[in-house]
Amino acid sequence: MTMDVPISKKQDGEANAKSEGEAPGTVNGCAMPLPMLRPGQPACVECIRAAGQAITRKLSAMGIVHGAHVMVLNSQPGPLMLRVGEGRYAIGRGMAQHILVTPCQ
Amino acid sequence: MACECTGVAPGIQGLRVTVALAGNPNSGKTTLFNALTCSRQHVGNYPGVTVEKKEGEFEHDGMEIHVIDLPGTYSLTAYSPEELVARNVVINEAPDMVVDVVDASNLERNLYLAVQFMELGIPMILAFNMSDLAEARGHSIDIERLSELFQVPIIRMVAHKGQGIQELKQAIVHVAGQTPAQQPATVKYGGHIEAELDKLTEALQGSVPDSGRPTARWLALKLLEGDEAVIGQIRREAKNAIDVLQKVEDSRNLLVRELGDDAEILIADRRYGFISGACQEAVRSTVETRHSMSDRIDMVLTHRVLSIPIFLLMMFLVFKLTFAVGDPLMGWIESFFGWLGEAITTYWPEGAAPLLQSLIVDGIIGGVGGVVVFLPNILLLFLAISILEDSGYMARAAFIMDRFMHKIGLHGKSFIPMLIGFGCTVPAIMATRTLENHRDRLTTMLVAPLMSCGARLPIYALIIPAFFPATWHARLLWLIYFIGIVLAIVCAKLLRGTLFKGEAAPFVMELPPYRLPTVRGVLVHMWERGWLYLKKAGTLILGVSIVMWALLTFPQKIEYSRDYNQAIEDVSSKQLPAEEAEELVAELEQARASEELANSYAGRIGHAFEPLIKPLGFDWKIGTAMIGAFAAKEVFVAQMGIVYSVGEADEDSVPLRDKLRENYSPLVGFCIMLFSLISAPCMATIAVTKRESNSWKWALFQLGGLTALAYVITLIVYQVGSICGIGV
Ligand SMILES: Nc1nc2c(ncn2[C@@H]2O[C@H](COP(=O)(O)OP(=O)(O)O)[C@@H](O)[C@H]2O)c(=O)[nH]1
Ligand SMILES: [Mg+2]
Repeated sequence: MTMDVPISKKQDGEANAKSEGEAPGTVNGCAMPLPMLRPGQPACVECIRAAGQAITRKLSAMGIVHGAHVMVLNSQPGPLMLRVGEGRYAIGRGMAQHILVTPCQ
Repeated sequence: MACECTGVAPGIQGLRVTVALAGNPNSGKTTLFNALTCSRQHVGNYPGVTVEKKEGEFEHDGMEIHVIDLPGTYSLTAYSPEELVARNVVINEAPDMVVDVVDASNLERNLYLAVQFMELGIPMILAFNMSDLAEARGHSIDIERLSELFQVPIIRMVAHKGQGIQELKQAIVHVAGQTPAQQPATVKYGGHIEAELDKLTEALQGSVPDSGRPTARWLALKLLEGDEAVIGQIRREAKNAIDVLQKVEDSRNLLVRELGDDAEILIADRRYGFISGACQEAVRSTVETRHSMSDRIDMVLTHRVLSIPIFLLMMFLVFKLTFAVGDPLMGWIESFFGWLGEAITTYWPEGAAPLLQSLIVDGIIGGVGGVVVFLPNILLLFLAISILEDSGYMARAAFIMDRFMHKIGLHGKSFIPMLIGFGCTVPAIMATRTLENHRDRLTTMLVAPLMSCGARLPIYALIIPAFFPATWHARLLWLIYFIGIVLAIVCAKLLRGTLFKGEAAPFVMELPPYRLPTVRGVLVHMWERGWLYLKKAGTLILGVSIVMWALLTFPQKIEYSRDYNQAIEDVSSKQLPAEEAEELVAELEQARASEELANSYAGRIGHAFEPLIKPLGFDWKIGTAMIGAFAAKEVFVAQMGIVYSVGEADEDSVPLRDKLRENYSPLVGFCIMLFSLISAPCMATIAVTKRESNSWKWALFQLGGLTALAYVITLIVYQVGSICGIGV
């Protein structure tokens, strides 16, 4: 486990296997930035990437963490309306780029 | 379990405990606060920052319980200034206990804060509020089991219906009487993280005062998470700060290598792991997450096409309510003050202390009355805003406006303080607390006075009918408001491009579910903001009215250019027809009054300013009134009344309007409005900007900048208008 992991981070021990070497946002089942998610499509948060400590903590406090079930609710330009569990959040697109998700069912 | 008994432990009688009500925004803290304290509450200020602090008291089982209502917060690592206040109260003021109000219908996220309180080791109670909603959504919570897992008492509540209040009071008394306090469960972060935490805890031992709270472990955890406030505290207070911070850095690096993620992510993951572990045991959800009623409303209100027209309609309704309903109410207040002034004049003993009579009638009643008249407008605007806020629409408005606000370098949340600014700038500036980024916040604060506040309305209400035909009235009023908005946009963009260069803070905001606002909630909310305005009327404006009255009344001994008393006697001795004689006497008395005025201190100051304001089309009389307007904008009207000695004057005063029409052109009238709109915000605004920005620099910058802007714009308008012959 202590072997060096290059640039791409692994989530946990088990997530290790699949998270490497996949270009985000290509095939179904792969991690993609949140804004690319189709509205109404359920997804799981893979990771929060390079967003800065303060923002990461803020997102965590709102329940946007690895494994959270999310759904984009709106389709207009401007911020995204995101459903996370029972919470609803407005998230600027720039910030949403840092949230990587994988669509599920 | 011997201590489970209900009997009060000896020594509790007469004890006083302090309880802080904490929790996520919109979890029902204020509702609970009101239910607990009934009417025994008061609003104060947190030292240092002007955040209204609500405190109250109640008694239960002979125990005196002091309650503090904290601003909403998602985490003990603060992100916004508002969250920082909540956290500082809990950490620094060390209340005896925290009641964490949890929105049980959104349990896991709400428990994230609860877990952090548990780690802090402060005695606590979890109030599972909104239990009705949780049950309606199909979550059934085994409160006993959860309470066992967390080692914390949990009370089921529906705060707005009063359910669970007695049980909570009982629990507070019980927890206060426990010695030693029950230790809540804590998260186990697993091998690697725990090892680093132990290292840091050890490094912190002895270098932080071991007064118990916060514990070294808690500080270590916060350091590992990168909490700036705690890092700052260590830097200031710990003897071996450099060593500790180096160790933190090492630990963080180590964790990235070992576990592949930053510490703050790992820690959050473990906390949620702990929470969902507990919830799996104690919560059963029968229904899958689905679109709620609220989501369906959102499909319409934030629809890509419909959202903007609906938003504009809402804004129109807000202003319609403010003005259409407010106007008759204003009439009543006005007549009341008119009646009061007259009554005093009538019943005043003839010839006794005329100065005192003038002080009361002209100074105090005239001055304060002129302000209180606008209370209905302002309260109604705040009423409308409170309804928008409590129903959940305000957050959507910020969401919709974000796209446009982004273009001027601000973000959606700045919209809310700006809207409040139409009522009164003071609460507007206080509302900027929700903006996380210092630059966003300062920009919003500095331009907020350009939103034409309720206090400027009397000026427009006086001037517009004096100079312009009735068909123009509404249009001119809109024009003035519009100019303010445009200037605010331009200034914000300028500030963001120069002084406050940099990225806008990322936009993240919770959109609370739509709720039917409660009458009580809305009224309390409205009153809290309106109270700030009234306080201003009661203190600042009262003081200024008296000062202005004195400036206008003294010095009393002046050299008249002719002997008016003699002249008046001459007229009466001349045996003229009654009507003609009366006219002559009135003329002489007015001439005497203006001479007195020109010689008063206020008049002299106005004269001194005249060369400066002449290019704007203003004479010394307007200058004198403008000085009063700095204290509070609405004083301008009363000042003009005194300057033109038409006696008790308000914005409906016909004689005053006649005087204005005789003396000035419509162009000057427009310039007065323009100058009042843009120039120096009132003293209360400057004071609140100073406190909220924590520096005189920005307050004075706001004062100087806006006044300079007003001067330049009014100068251009007046000069161009005069040359082109518009409205002269
Ligand atoms: N359904 C339901 N609504 C509640 C309950 N408690 C409070 N509310 C409503 O929730 C809204 C937000 O409450 P408030 O006390 O302002 O929350 P705060 O932001 O935590 O101070 C108000 O409209 C309340 O009427 C509850 O137990 N059940
Ligand atoms: Mg509240």
